[in-house]
Amino acid sequence: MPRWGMVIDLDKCFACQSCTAACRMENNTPPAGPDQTGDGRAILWNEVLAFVEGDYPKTQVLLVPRPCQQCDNPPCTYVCPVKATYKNEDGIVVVDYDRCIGCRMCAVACPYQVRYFNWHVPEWPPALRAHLNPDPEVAPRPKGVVEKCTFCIQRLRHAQEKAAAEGRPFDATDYQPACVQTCTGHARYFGDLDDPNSLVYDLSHSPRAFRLLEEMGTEPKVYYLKQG
Amino acid sequence: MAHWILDTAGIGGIIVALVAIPVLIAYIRMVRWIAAAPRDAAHSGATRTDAVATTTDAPEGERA
Amino acid sequence: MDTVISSASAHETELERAVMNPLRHTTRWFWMAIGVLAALVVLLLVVLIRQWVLGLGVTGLGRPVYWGIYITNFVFFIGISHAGTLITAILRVTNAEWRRPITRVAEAITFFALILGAAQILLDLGRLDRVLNVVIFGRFQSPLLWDVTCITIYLLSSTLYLYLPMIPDLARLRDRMAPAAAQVGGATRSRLRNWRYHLYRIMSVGWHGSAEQHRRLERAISIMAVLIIPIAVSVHTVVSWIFGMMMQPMWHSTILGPYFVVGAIFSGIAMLFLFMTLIRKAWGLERWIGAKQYDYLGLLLLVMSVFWAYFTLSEYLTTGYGTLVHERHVLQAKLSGEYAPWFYAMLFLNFVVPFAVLIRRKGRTPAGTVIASAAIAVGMWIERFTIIAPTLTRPSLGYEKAVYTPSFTEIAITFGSLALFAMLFLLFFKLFPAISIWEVEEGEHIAAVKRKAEELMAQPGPAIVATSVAGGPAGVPAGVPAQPLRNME
Repeated sequence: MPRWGMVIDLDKCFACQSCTAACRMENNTPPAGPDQTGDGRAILWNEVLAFVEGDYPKTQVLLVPRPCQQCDNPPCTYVCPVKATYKNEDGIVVVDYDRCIGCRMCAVACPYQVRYFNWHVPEWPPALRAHLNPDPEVAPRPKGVVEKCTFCIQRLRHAQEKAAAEGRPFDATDYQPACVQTCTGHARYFGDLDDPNSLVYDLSHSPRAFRLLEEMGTEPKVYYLKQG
Repeated sequence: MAHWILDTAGIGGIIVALVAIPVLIAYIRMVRWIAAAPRDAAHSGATRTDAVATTTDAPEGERA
Repeated sequence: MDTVISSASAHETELERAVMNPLRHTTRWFWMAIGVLAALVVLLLVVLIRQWVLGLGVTGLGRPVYWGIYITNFVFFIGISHAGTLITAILRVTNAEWRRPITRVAEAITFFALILGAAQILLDLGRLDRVLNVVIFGRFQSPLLWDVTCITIYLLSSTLYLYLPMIPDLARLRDRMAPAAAQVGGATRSRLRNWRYHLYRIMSVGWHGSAEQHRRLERAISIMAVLIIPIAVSVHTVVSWIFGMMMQPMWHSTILGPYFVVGAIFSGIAMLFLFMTLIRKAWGLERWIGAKQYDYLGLLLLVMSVFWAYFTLSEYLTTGYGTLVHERHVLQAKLSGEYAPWFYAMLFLNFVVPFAVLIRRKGRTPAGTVIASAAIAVGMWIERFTIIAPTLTRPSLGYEKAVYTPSFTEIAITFGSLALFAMLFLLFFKLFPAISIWEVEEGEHIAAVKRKAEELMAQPGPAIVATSVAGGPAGVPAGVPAQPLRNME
């Protein structure tokens, strides 16, 4: 089984946030509006985080796109009381929206805060509603449940089905999440971390490679290449 | 095996039931055991609701 | 509105009269108090329904502060439920006679606090309609399942532990009402008016007070007293592990279990003081809930305050002495950041005020303990709040410092829950005696026997073994001269 992982090159990323926008269009996350976003209600499975140090004019800003880290030791899955969230056979941490009781313990457990909660019944302005992704895997979630980045698992399923239909073996390069596909700086890479011939394998072993909060032992599968 | 007990959905509910139901039954049986206590031979027709449960007292607590 | 509980026996004791008075007569003040509380409960229901319809967005919660006031209230109420356990169980096991007049109030507090505590978790769920998933799909690795297990056991146990010592009193009430019930006949109106008689009759399960029945009751209560102590300790330990098992700064602490248990007993005694003083004043029970209760319980509260301060010092000193970055951010939030006023208020209310009041015997009075307990009740709520909110506003990734402003909904639900707690408590003691009559009588009897034994032992007399009064070696009848030691068994 491929161990799906992502590498993000912080030298190439210039924080255009196309990845964030593409993720929203692919996965039907509801827009929150400026007021609700100020209250921390925005649902952005992929977000670009700004780490700011120092004061102007000597500020140092590090802009880091942050999808779900898809940990191999996911602390969120340990605490779910109903197994609504778990690491599936593809190594992707998924949420069963029909079973989730909305206790938000997983959201509190995640050291990276990649989990989002539906505080209201989700709504879209008419223009966005007309362009919802019709894929049933990403049907809009009801209020009261937790959701998060799934490495666009619906694309994985489609790619597997397509390969089967075409009578050829499924190859890891057949599928990539929307954020990776859209990245204007070509800063995001995706593939099988265990395949020694893959690009992500090479990059994840690069001396520039690091992971967020590595000391916590969560074993995230999203690697970053150090800026500079 | 330990991982299976901890991780499988539904086992948690079974554990809760396996603990709570015997406790509930035990408590009900405790109350019934108390309620089924035999009456004193000397005062079989009366009830004594005061605290001093000796059989040598004068029958001051009896109600007709 | 009066209820016919007759004083059929010519010599109703003062205790009986005082304790049964609120069951017979209801004053206008009572209904006014209930009215005020009920208004808050109605507000609670209105905002709760609105929250169910609109979603948890009506709260002030937001990422990353996913837990806030409701979880604070949950821990707070579960903590208060340790009032009953400490007083009735530990004091029973250690044979502390002074516990007798206050066990009923303590056990009632435990019962209603558990119910309100469980309710707080339920109203915090995003999908309450799916709550049964916790059983159907329950996953035991989750600390929430440990909570469900322990709190269920504790609820069952504290219900029994409230009910068992009530049985003889219920039978007494049943018997007092029996003549009135017999007089009234079979009309529907009288059946309604007699609903209290039937309630007491059913609940007293045919209690007839024989020696054997008393023995069985005492046995059952003793067993429960011993069992409920570890159950209660387990409850607040697993509640603490909701936080302690997670890798959040200042949550993943080994001390959290004992810290929460100590805090629970601490806040539980404070609540007991508040409610027992209220009942004492409102029901006119000054003669039985007296100086001894306030003195000894006040000392216990002082001891718990010192215990709590010790654990708090241990937690903060350890965190502050280290250099772990994520933890220090949270610590700074509490010591010098926006949570500093809360933190210092907590120290003042939980330690300075109680210590100042309770260290002197003159402070261990109804007035003094109410002041100390009110301070502690607020201080302990703040303690729970400052455990939850600062940590969540300082996520480990460290790119943001979130702000949590509770909304009107959360505040209304908090006060409404406290009002519901008080209301249920008052209504309960409109129906059931606030003092365990038979236990106080038993205590008076034991005291009288002891006094008589002391009097007899103080009398000079021939070489008669004076053990026969209190029960001497088997087979030695009263009045027999002492035997040489080697012949005694």
